Amino acid sequence: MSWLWIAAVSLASGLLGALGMGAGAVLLLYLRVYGGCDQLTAQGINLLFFLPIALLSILLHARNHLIDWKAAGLCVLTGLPGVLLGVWCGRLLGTGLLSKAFALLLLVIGLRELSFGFSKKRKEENSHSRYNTPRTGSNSS
Amino acid sequence: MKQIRFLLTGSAAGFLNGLFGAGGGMVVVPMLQRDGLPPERSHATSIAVILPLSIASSLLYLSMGSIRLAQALPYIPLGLVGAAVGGWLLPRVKTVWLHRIFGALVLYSAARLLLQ
Repeated sequence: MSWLWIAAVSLASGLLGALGMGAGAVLLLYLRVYGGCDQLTAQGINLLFFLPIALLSILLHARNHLIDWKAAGLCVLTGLPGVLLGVWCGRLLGTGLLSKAFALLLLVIGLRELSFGFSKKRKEENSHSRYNTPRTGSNSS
Repeated sequence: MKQIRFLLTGSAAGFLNGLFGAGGGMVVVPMLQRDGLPPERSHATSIAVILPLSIASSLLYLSMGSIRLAQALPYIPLGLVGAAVGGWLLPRVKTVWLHRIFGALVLYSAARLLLQ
């Protein structure tokens, strides 16, 4: 049974990760709620899991010219110091508080996804042509 | 101004990635969409942002001894299959229903975590 769960969670996480929809939430949730891992271990497993998934996804998306490399580069530039700060804060908080903080983050993600899911259809219906013609302000890959 | 927004978003994504090992996409995707990138490009670009951040976080977690490489291995093979399907689907599918199902699942699990 547990292998079935691992298979289902892996597939769902890989799929959502490639869709840029938050693979982390699915695997982390499984590991925390059902897998019996503590918060830091679950986060670490999730990070390692994401590396090959992201690499494959980037290769596929780059082939479809879906990646804005300039925007990505700028985000990474300040993202790396942010990582250091985040890891440091995580160690300060400890697993108990980190777990509660993660639950709050999930609440925000869940509400955002639901509202996005319900407003997106209307937006797509109203302005579908906008997405077919990217604005000139965005940088092409 | 747009570049400053990218830099600020990057630092927020990095902070979340280091703190929670996830969640960076939550800030990157909306920002890219606000700057006029179509949804599928925003989602794809967010992965290109999160990968280097996740590499940095992983190295830090490994160096702290929080995890071992082997713990992630059982999840990777089928994860790659899912990623291949997702990579094929992204330019072809409307993700409205995925957002709804995912949102409901995440809310349920957040409540369970808070009540634990």
